[in-house]
Parts: sequence; structure tokens; C-alpha cells
Amino acid sequence: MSAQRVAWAIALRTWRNTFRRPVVLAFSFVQPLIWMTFFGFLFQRYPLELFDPGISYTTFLAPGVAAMTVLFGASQAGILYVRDYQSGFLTRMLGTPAGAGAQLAGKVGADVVRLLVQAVVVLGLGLVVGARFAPSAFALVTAFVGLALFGVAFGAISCSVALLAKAPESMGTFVHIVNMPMLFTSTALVPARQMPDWLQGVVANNPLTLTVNGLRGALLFGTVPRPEAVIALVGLAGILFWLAAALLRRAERTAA
Amino acid sequence: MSAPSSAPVSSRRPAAELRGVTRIWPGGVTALSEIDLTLPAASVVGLVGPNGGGKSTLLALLAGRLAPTTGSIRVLGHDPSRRRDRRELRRRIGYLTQDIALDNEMTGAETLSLFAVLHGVPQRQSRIRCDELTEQWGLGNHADRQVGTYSGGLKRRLHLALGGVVAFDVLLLDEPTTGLDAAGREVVWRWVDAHRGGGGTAVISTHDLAAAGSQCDAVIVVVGGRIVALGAPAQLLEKYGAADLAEVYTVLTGSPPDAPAPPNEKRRRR
Repeated sequence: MSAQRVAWAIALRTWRNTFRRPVVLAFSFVQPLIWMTFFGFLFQRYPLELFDPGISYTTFLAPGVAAMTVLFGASQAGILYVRDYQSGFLTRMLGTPAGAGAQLAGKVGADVVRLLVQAVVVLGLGLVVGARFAPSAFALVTAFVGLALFGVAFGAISCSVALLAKAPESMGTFVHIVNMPMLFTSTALVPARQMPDWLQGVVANNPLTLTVNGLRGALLFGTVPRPEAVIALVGLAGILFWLAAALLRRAERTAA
Repeated sequence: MSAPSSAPVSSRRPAAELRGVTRIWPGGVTALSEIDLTLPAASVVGLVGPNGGGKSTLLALLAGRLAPTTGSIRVLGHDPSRRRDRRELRRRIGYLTQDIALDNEMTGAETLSLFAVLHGVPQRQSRIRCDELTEQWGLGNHADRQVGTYSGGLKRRLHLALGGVVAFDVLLLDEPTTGLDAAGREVVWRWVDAHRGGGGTAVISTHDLAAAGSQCDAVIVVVGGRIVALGAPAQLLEKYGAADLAEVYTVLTGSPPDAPAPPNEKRRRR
């Protein structure tokens, strides 16, 4: 039994499910586009004291919206598990000798790969609406590794919530409870120095901040993300993936 | 209760053994109480009885989907409720639930090949096996269509076909013939017969008493969470002085079953 083969088969299935719902896929592109253009128009006249006067808000915002796309997309990863649970298909897949960890890796891996592609598309849209980047290759690769780890972490949380709640309604609630505070206490939309002092600790340790700062530094200045930030994301992704895999293994029994 | 004595004599250890098994649902309803049962290897065992009597619970316990509240279960020498044993049993037990468990957005062919991978069928054999199953279950013209477009009977066929992806030692089939036409029911019973021929054991819950009477080595009548009768069909007919299993069923449950036409006879209109 090869775990990679299982993960790959599950990934193919996950991608097929995504592409057979073109409207859902289209919305996941429309949403970041709306954010980018509307926030761009809204804030570009404000003095945001950005990194240096030469950087436009659109340039600042593009990596933030790219990371936001991964956050929003990953937080919906669990929806397929809710659906699979309700159809009995999840229990059936878990009743096979294929390991739960390999099945989860295929599922979350497929979502993260798709979301990274979407993040690239969002950055391309950013260029179209006026963002200007000066990246370096190594920095950008490292930043994308960080983005992928962030996606794994939130994909895993989403799957855990799905496996605990088993209802589509609670997925909607989860997305709002987690995504909005995550987004507005991060540096995705505005620099940390724009926020009150009491919030600084939250902002600095928000995983979205770690991800966005790495991506923004790599794209705008070619700076390599801080190793501490990448290590923190590795730890977060590892722990949350492990938790989701444990819940998935358990779901075979509680599902009956 | 003892093992059905007329089942094929086997020197191998039994396929499954239940001792004092009781299953109580959260909330206190007893699904099964004090079940003692031995299922011999290389046999086909039919579970019959009214709805809510405990047939599905018995199969779920054997499959390890449910844990018994009290008592012990051994399937192929393993305890299905133990985590380590389950790893081995997932390889060897094919459990097909009564509810059809498929993904409507996948095609039939995709579903089969996914489960071939999940069961560790090597790539080269997988293609051949999936083609054979498509043929066996009459899914040839429908394999590349999404399952959501299938009729109920076709869904049932695909649901069952997945149970043939590998050769399991034990098949647990929960009302497999529901919604199938005569040809489909015949595929089920032929499959089960071949499975027994290969040394496998099958436990099948069914309301198709005519088929159960002709195809099963032993029939277990489950009513109100208890085994009220157990034996080879011929033994049961003799014991209750009945002409067929339907009559036995009526005596034991107090109401007659509505027996569908047996799968190996041509449909007759009255």
C-alpha cells in the first residue's frame, strides 16, 4: 500500500470535484478581485505611511489579498468532508486499508495546490491594476512555502471543524468567525503601525501576518522571509494536520 | 445458540463468533441483546426479520462500525472494535451498507478506480479489475457518467460493485438486493455463491425470503434484537412444519413478509 498513491488518487478526486463546480471556482476568483479593486480604490488616497513613499497601496495590498485568497479558500476545505459524511462516502473511504493521514494529505494537498495557483492569478490581477513587484527567486519560493504551510494549517482546521460539526451550516459560521478577525488583525490590508498598541501583540503573532509579511517582503523587496516565521508556520501546519488526521481516523467509528 | 449444524463442515476456524453481545443505543433503546452466534467459514448466512429488528446493527457490529455495549466479537480471529485489529480487518472485510454511499459528482469508473487504489490494488491489475466489475454489474454504458445521473438501481449496482474491488474473506451485505431488478438480484446471488466457492463467508440481510431459502446455508431470524430461530433453511421448514421460509417468518414474527419474485425465476404476472 503506497501512501503517495492514495494521496494522489484523493487529490485527483478533490480537483475533479472543484472543477465540476465551475461557479464555485469562479466565485473564488471574483471575491479577491473585488477585494483588491474596492480596497484599492478605498484606501489609495489615504496616507498609510507605507514602507516607503514610492509604494502604492495596490502594490502593498496585492500580496495581502493573495494570502487572503488562500485563507478563505482553505477555510472552506472541510465542506467536501461534510458532504462526504452526509453521503456515507467518507465512512466508506475510511473503511478501506488506506491510511487516514494519506487521505487527508491528498485532500488538503489538492486544495493548497489549487489555492497557490489562485494566489498567483490574484498577484497577476494585481499587476494588471497597477501593483509593481521587485521579487527575488529564492525569497519568493520561500514565501510560497510559507503560504502553502498556512494553507495546510487552515485547510486542516476546516477539515477538523467539518468532522466535528458534520453540518454545512456550521461551516459557514466557522468561516466568518475565523476569517474576519484573522484578516483584520493581520497586516494583509493595512500595516501594523496603523493599528492600536493593544492589538500589536495579536497582529505580530497572527499566522496570516507571518505569511503576508513573508510574501510581501519577497515580492516587493526580494527579502527572504524570516526563518522564525517559516518555522512557526511549519509547527502550526504540523500540529493542525495531525489533529485533523486523528479526527478523520475517528470519524470511521462515530459515523455509524 | 449453537452453530448451524448443516452448514458446510469446515476444519477452519469460524469466520465470526459473537458471545453475549448486547448493543444499546445512546438513550437506552436496546438494538440487540445477548447474541451468541458462530458463523462458519465458507458459508452464506442470511439475516431475515422485520425492520428495526437488529439485522443492520448486527452487520455494523461485525464490520466494526459499531462497538458492542457488552459482550465480545471475533471476526477472522480479530476484535473489530480494537484499533489495531481494525487495520487488518479493513483489508479482509467488505461491508456494504444498506444506504448507498457514493459521490454523485464522480463517474462510475472514477469511483471504482479510486476504491481500487484505496484497497491497494496494483495499478496494472486495477484497470482489469474495474473493467470486470463494470461488466459483471452491467454498468458498461454508464461507467463514464456522473453517479448523480444514475437511476436508483444503477447506483445500487455500483455501490455493490465496489465490494468486489478486492477478494475479501468476509462480505457483510446489508439488504443488497433492495431496488434491484431480477437480473441485478441474480448478479448479487451469483457473486455471493462464487465468494463462498472461493472459501469466503457472506452474511446478508434480506427481505427476499425465496432467495434466502435457496441460496443460504443458514438463515438467522432476528426479531426485537434477539435471534429467534437459526438453522439451515430445510431444518427451519421441518421444525416449523412450513412449506417455505415466508411461512416460517410469518410464524416467528406474527406478520407475513411481502416476498418478491426469486431472482432465478422469470417474472410472472398474476
